[in-house]
Amino acid sequence: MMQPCPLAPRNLLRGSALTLTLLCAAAADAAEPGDWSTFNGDLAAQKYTTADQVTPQNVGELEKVWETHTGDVSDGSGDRPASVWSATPLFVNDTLYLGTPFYRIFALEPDTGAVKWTYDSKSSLEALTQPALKNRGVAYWQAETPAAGEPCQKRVYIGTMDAKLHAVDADSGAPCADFGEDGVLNVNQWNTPEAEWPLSLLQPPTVYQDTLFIGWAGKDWAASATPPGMVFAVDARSGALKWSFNPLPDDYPGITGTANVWASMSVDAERGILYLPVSSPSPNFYGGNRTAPIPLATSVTALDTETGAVIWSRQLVHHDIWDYDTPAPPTLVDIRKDGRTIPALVQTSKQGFLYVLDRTTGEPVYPIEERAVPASDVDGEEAVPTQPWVETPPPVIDVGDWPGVFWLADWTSLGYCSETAEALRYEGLFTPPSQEGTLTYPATVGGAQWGGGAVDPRSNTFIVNSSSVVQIYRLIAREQYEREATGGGNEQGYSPQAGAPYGMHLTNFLNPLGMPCWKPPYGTLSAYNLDSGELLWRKPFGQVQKWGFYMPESWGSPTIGGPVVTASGLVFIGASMDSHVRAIDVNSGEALWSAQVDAPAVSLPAVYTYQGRQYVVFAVGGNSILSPRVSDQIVAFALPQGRE
Amino acid sequence: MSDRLVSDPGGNLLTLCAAVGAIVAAFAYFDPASGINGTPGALLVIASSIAICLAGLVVVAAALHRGPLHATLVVLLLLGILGTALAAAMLHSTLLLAMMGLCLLGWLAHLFTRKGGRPAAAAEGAAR
Repeated sequence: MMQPCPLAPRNLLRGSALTLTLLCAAAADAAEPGDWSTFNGDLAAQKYTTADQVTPQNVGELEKVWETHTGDVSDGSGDRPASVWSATPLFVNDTLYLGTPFYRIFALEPDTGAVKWTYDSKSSLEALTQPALKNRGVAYWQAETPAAGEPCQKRVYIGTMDAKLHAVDADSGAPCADFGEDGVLNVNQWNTPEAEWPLSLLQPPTVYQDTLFIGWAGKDWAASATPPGMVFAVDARSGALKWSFNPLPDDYPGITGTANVWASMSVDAERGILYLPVSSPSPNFYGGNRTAPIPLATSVTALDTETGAVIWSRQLVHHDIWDYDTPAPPTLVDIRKDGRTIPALVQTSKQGFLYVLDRTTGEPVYPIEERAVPASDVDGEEAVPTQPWVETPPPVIDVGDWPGVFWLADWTSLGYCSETAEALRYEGLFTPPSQEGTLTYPATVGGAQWGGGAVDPRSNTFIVNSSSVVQIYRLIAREQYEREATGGGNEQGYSPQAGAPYGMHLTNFLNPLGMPCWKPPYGTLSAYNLDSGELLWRKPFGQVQKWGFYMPESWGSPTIGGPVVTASGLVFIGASMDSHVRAIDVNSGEALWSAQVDAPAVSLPAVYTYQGRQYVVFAVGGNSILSPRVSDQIVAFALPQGRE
Repeated sequence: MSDRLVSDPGGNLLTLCAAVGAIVAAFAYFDPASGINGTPGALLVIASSIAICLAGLVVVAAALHRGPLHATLVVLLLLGILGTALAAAMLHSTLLLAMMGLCLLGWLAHLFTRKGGRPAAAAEGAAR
């Protein structure tokens, strides 16, 4: 799929040669300019489009031009688990492709939303590994030289929670029989024989040339002994395994698993390097069974795309006992610093740091220091004495101290918040989980989450949304846990951590009325200059909505999802709990436009140009972390006809 | 009844706008695009709008213009209108907020044009 780089002349004038090289490399795997053909828009995970029809001057005229409902939605009130839908729509092959949380593929007309075809994987709709039915969309591949009249020269892939990867013809939706068995690859064939759950394929594969890179999601809160977090590289045509990568050391002297890659990945197409955001090992919140180092866990790791060999790896959290999974692919960007151009990456994190590394070596572009952190007071746990710490760029939230008790929540609960805070353990970031309860900030919901950041590679302005959420981690001795635990999942409630001496209870720090006990803002959007490491602006983003009531804008909202950036200087983003999608001015952070949608749009939007008209499309699915509101809406916005 | 309508235009305006407000709130409760569908906040303003409407009907239909019941209803109406307006603002329901604004105008008009008040009494005397 390598093609001449078709960048607009004005961009050629604006950008440096090296920036253009990166843009061209990114464009190499997009079929056409104006496409949005991968989960992050391009393999460099820049989430950047050269589309510039919608500008800060005319974005106020943006209007809804179509919406479609897939019917694949559940609020969990019946027999079917709730749905969580975070699919990035893909625009490629003159078609808009989406996966649904019921594991169906929709192919839509890009200008009307009319359904071209659908494909039903007929996957069992059971929450086998997650608390909800989840999907983050589909992946697209096409042959370098498609043979005319032959089917499956262009393919769409969807994974299922029960570990099946389906390949269908992108033009008809018919299964590609030469892939796996009759179009279905059973990824669970590579699971450990004793595994109690499948390798759930919720994130679509990353496609590079003729290879699919497959990560998976599991239940790392459920048990100590879990499958190792293998990443699989398979042939895009046949599904044959090319190589696999195991993040855990061979013959590891402990009981653990996972350290899997559940988020998307990025690729330096020019250098043939695959970048993995590697998550934490199991169980999430107790490490006494895995005290020996696991260097590749909670890391960003670079692999050779051809062989899977590790080129370099940088651990972001040592001996992770906070579930600080590396949640998003690093964004690849060339940084201009000290008169040099550095091929760099920016790795966002749940713990709030932005790690800027040389992507060829893994060495820090801005310093990373080892800083002393608190010891554990839990029998059997051996928390490490130091953790990596980054000052530049400034973290996405203030990690130096938690926000403190919010007077309104404290007053309305007659002092509950301040009394509870007094009783909890808190000695700053990386305070280990404890039996009395540890106030954890930032916690497992971030900081930054799987949406990651977006960058304008001409100015190296990096945009990232974040959450400011305080949670309480409480380890519970096994005997007491068996009496106390009443269910739960990975995001809230009880986690059994079977095989460990402690179960776990995780909860947001709320007062009895459900108000956050900590001070707002609860979510922000930030812009950085990557060339200097400076914070350009930070604004509360979105609005908290409780019982339908919108709280003040200055409070912001926790965010799930991520931004995209356009060449005209706009950020498009959903992500907030108030069920709005917004356009933000890249230069000022000012919200220039917003629209109401049916639920929180916790997906990355797709921005594409079709027949001369620029569209911004959101999959509106909701996420129980933010709100119980769910939907199956796909909604497209564009300038009015004649105003393009 | 028509005499009553003519004699208390403020009360009628209040009652009518509260009824429209209840319909607006009910529509928002069921409309997925409203942003507040199915929420307790939307239910609350449906209930409060209906309560304002009913209280307004009592004032108009019973031709209440003075006495303890009238005074109580007038105070409760003001609290209901202001509370519903605040809720409408926090629900981002512009139309409901506008209806509550009109309700407030009606409430003021009722006070100053009511039978028994000087302007209203003079007008009634002239008509007879």
